[in-house]
Amino acid sequence: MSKEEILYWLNVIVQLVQQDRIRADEIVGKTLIELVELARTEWDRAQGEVDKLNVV
Amino acid sequence: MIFTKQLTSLLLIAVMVFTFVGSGCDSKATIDQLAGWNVRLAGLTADLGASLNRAVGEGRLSPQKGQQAAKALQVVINGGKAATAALNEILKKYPTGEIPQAELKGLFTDFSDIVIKPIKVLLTQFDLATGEDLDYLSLAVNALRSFISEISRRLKKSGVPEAAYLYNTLSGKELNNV
Repeated sequence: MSKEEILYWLNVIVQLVQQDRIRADEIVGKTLIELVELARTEWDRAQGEVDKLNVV
Repeated sequence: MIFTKQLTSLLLIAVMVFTFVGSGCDSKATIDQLAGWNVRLAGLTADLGASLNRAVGEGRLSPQKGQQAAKALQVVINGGKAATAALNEILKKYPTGEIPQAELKGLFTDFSDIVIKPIKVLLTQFDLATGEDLDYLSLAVNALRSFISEISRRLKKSGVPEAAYLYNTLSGKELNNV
């Protein structure tokens, strides 16, 4: 893997971790119903991304 | 001086007992924590999928490798959806969030089997990847790996008895022995 590729994927990790931290803050204080609803939305979003990967 | 040390020890023991009993008996807090982890795992999986799509779009990842990754992610997503449905059922059955220990234990076991285990398989696959196969997801999945470690650390800290099976799945260690 080239240095540029390593930097690219490291940047991906940093972005994923940052986004996870933001999400962790956002879910604080949410009710169980809201958390279940949010999880459903996020799993659906994940499904959408996987469907896109399969189409390409 | 000796008194201060004794007092400090007593305070420490009191805090440990409070933490253990509090976390073990408060099923509402435990279920909230599990539901929160489910949201974060779902979000991370979606973000990882989006990153892979972007990488394919930018020509940094071949469509074939993108599809391989999609296959692995699909197993995680199937588990996540099932776990969310199970949470929803529990919520309908116990709207206050006060769940009997046996059901809470069952929920943790399901979460462990259908969400965490596929993620661990995914991580192991990338641990075993070599050469050209190593050049993409092995780095990207580290965000998932770091979150799995976080769950493991938190379980170790809180010592929730119902989550012993999940902790074992995460770390291969006995929760009671930590």
